[in-house]
Amino acid sequence: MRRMRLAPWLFSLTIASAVLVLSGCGDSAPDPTYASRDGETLLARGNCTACHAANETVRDRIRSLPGPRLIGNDGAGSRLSPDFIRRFLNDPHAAKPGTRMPHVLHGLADDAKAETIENLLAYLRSQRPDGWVEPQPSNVLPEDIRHGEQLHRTIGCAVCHAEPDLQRLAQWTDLASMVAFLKDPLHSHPAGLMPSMGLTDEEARSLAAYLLQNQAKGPDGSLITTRSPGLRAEYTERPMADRGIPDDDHNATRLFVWPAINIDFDRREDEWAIRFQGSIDIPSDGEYEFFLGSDDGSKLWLDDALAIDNGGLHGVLWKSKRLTLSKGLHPFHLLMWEILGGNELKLEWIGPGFKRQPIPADRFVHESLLLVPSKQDAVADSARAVRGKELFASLGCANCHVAPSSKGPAFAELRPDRGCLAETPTSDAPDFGLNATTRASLRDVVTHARDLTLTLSPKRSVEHAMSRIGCVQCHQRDGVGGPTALTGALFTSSGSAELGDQGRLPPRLDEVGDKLRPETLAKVLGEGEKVRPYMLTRMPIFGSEATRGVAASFTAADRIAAHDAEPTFTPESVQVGRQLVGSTGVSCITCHTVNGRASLGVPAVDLGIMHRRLRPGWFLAFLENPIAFTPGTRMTRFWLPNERIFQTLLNGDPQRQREAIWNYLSLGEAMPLPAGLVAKSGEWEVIPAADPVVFGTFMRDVSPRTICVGFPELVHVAYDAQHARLAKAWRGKFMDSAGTWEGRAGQLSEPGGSSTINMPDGDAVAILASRETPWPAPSLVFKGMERDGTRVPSFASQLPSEVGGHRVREQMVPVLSSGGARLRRTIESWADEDRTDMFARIAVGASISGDGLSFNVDGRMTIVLESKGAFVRTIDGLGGPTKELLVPVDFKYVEGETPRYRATVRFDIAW
Amino acid sequence: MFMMTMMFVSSLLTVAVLSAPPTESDYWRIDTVQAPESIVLEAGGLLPHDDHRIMACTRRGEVWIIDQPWSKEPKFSLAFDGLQEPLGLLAAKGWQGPKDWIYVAQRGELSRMRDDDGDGRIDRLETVCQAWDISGNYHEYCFGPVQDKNGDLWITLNRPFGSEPFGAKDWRGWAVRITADGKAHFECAGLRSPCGVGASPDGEIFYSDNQGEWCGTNKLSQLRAGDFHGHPWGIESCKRSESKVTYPGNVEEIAKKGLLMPEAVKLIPHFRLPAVWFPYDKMGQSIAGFVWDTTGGKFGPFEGQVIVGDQHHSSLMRVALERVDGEWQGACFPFRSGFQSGIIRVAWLPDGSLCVGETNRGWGSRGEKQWGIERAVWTGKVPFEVQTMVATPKGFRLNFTLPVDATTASNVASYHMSSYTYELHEAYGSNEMDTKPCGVVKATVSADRMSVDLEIEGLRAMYVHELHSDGVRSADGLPLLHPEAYYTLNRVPK
Repeated sequence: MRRMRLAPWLFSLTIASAVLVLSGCGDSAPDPTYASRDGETLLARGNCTACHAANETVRDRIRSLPGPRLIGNDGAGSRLSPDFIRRFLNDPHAAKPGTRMPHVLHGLADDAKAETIENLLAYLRSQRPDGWVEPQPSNVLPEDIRHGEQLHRTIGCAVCHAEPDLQRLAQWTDLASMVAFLKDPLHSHPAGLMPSMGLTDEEARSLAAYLLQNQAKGPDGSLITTRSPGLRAEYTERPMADRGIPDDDHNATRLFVWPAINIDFDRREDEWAIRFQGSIDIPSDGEYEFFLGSDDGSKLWLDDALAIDNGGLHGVLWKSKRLTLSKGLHPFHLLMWEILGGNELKLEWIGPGFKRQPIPADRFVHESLLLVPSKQDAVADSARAVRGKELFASLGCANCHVAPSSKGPAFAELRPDRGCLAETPTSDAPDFGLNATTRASLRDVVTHARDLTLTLSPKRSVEHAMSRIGCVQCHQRDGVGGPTALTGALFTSSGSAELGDQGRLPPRLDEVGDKLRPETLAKVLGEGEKVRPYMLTRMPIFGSEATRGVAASFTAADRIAAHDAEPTFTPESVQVGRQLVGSTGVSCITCHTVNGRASLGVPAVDLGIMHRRLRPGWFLAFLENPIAFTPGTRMTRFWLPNERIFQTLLNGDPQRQREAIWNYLSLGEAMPLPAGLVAKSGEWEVIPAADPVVFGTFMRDVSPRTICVGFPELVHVAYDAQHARLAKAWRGKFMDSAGTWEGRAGQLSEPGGSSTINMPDGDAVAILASRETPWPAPSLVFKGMERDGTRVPSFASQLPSEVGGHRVREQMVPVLSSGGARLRRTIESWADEDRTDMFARIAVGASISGDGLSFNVDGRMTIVLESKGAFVRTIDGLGGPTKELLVPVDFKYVEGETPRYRATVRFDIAW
Repeated sequence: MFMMTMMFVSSLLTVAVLSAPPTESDYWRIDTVQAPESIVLEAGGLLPHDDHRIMACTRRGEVWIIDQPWSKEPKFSLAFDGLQEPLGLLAAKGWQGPKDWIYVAQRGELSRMRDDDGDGRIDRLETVCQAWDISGNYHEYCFGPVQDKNGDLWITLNRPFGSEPFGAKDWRGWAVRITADGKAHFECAGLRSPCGVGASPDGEIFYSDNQGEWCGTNKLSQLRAGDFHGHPWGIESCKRSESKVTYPGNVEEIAKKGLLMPEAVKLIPHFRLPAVWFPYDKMGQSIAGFVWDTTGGKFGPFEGQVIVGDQHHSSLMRVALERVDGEWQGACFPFRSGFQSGIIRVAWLPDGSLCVGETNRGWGSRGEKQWGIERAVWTGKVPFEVQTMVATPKGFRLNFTLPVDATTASNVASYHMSSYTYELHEAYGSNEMDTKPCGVVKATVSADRMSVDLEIEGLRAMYVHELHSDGVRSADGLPLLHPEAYYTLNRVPK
């Protein structure tokens, strides 16, 4: 069977193909509203309501998709070649088979049509205020094209664009425009029919090179390599053994063209290597001396023979070599590696008639492919542009490409055999290139136009959205859509993931509204959230326009599990959950990663994101019998009916055990690591395991004397020794130590997790003349650290003698609670007398509200005090009135202690 | 060709050396602490705890106690963590309370720590002095402490190198004396990268500095109140009232074109020359910790000399100091190479072996391991070495560890000497400047054949005198284990 050969860009979304994909789909359940999925999809893609005014209900149901943005600085005139624009306007269906662009000018005689096209072209090209810039040829390497081809095949492009028409693409545009389009297709095509694939710059460039490769082909169709300025550069990052990388190791992290011998390209500090290859152009016959200076090692080959070996680990070291060379090109190859410390690379020479100098950039060339965009046969013509602008409005282009206006008859009055829908469209109606099937579908839906005023049921709405957006190309739901015999082989997984079809095929969307929380659905649809790292196919980003309201339809359409409430949270249940998840229990970690840490086996969906994404009812039911939800799943059924496992845990009660796992997962990024997962050596993340970990560092926005404490409960604090104050608290990952411990280090560190809270500047306690006295400038002085029997540190500080010389000690410990651990903070102070004028400052914020024990700060953190007496006062802050939460420090006489009075302030912070 | 070979072989026979010539390892054995992979033993400080335990602090801020360190499976226990790049440990004598306080230098403070309950874990860390600030630059290391003859503690503060995210701070490149009341006394300025600080048996304080800008090559200098050591980085702090150093002027301007050492001494007030220069690469590349040999002969025949570590060369060097007109100067010699990683700390063990703390992170080293702890143990054999090189009014006296062969030792052709100095300038390092050969006019062997007096033509004060005694043989026909010596002749004795 011949594979569909369709133009890239818009093909899958074309009117013709929508029906191709959908025909043969099973009938949906009976519905009281009229519903033609095919016909309404065609209405949406044809953007029919842009010309045929419809009421809001109809518009909402159809969700017409606007045309590409043609106007503006980077509009069509600056990204498409004049030749393409002419041919496209002359006959869109011939120039780009399957396009949803109608043939508007089909009723004009040839002369008038040519004149109209030139005027429209002039208008489009007048959009750039700085005038037309002739597109420049671009250099690409053969590897770019190969990489692009691989991307096209694996990430999902080929599902819609089976075989790009390279011949035609080469005439459309230039590399820079294509890269810009691929990077952000929604910018010019907001309808989302061509979604964003989340490409990196390098990926977009490779893909564009692949699509435009015919611009580098000769008449016989073979790629022509040309000699271009600069050198081919292979950059690699990896741990360096002391002698750098092997001479013939071409495993590059990045490949690019670099103009001269230097190391000014984007790179890291340590442990990298660069390889330059190409030819050097020797200006004349004679004797040359080459000087190679590098920190660390380097090697130079000329004419494929090692000329200078400057290897090793060293500071800037120069080596030289004298060679007799003939005029002309000689193969050139230079390898340099940086292990640690300083880095430098210089290549200089002395030759006939010139003194020692760096080898000029224009002496280097390399073999590359030159993509030459088609010639721009057009001149600026402001008179034509003015006429073009008028035509753009009068012909109705603006209806789709700028904003709808009622150009044609109202939607409700459309006749199925007139205008666009006539067997042969009338000369004043656009020709959409309909075939018998599509015309029949449209005629059918137009005939029932009045029924479109009814709102679709959620189930229908989902069906329509999936067909309108194109979800059905990859996903199956209710037996409709999903990979076909043609596309199935395009879905692949990364080599290491042995997850079978489940590891490569996009998930089915049956009952997905029951499975995913509404906000997750919105995130997946709007942002293309991707949680299956083993699948090479990417979830595209369709943009807000195309996906508006769709998540809610899924939730409304699907049956939600009966018991969808959060189970009761207790710290004990979290501990049981942790045991069950770990290798001592049902061992979820055999397959599932945990907050980015590798599982013991395959990389199945991360446990750390499950609570955030999944609905509790679905999760608990799924755990009970996975295969009932996902036929063919590799997820094991651990709890068989009438059987109890791990009977010491919650008496073996299956439901409570599953709830315990859910409670444990509810800690998200703050889930303490389950048994069986250990940090691998050589990684820089510091993971508190048994005892709290104390870590001294320079911390950004804190001070160069920051002492961080990481707890196994995955709540952590940063204490600023320079200012004797608690500075930050956060959950999740504790610390990436590379900036403090790798190489010469000295990078400013930052909390490892997210959800960081900052504590107020200044001292935690102070002596105030009255409750109105402003909080004084900081004066506490750091005095050291104590570690108790569980190795939890407390921090000692002291007020200067002129303000009493009181000793202060504070300790922070985690307390497990839903959503992660809270922080319990204890501040102790000592005094010789029973003074009543010392206060502790608990929080500062724009708004603080609460009763005697519990206070909310700025809606982002909750403070729960152990004892009463706290009060909120208003002060003049930098940004206006600010609230402070203070509590009087209550000294108590302590028998036998010196000083004799001690006070303790204790409170929990939840955030 | 055959005849030539025969002659060569017979000449060897005449000196009675049939086996391969002895090497360093015949005299000093290296033992290695076998540590698990997971323990990153970047030993910045070493403190022999008792006869079977060593305490080590690491650049990662951990404090480890290693029990039976030289056994096949030493026992490691973590005593503390969270220190900021601690680079020295000291059990200071007679200081502030119970003697079991251990003093440790962190980037931003001098602290002391103690195990209250004797369970092997440190329970308490107290700040002793935090009179200097750090800007958040990696190079702001703090080295020490060591204790002087009055019982005061000394630390040295590295200059920053690159960005200073929390703002430039005072007292960088200074040596600080801290008294028992916790007060800081800012004694000397102009230090660059003072990785080693040590106390002589008499309680005088010395420091070692690393080659770079304003430091022509590695050096060992005495620290005395009021001295300026050449690097202008922190000299603005001289203007503060706490400074013991009078502002030496705009050094960058004075030495703009570079000054040879004899000129620099004249033009820059309070500029102190080092006791010993270590010519770059010939005598190490990254000078580090040092100790005086106070083992009473347990470590070999160099009692009273200084053993100096070098990070890049992963080696130990040897310095024989002497006082001339009350000022220290002397010679340095290669001693023992071949350690597994870069040495930054040295400390005596109770048995007279020398423990070394190693890390090459950030700078690299010839030893290919990234970190570790080793020790050098004297095998009991005496190598043939120049034991000391002493300045005399007309040249140098070489005292040997073993009797010399009178014929070779009295032959002036057995010796070769040249002299050079360095330039004080901003550029990184200095070439050897103004190099001239020195004539060895006469070599007189003493009656006991244990020393040789060299009469030298062209002695120059404030120049390094590099001696190669390649021709000298011991009475047993051995060449010197290390024929080279580098004497920094600040003053010619009268």
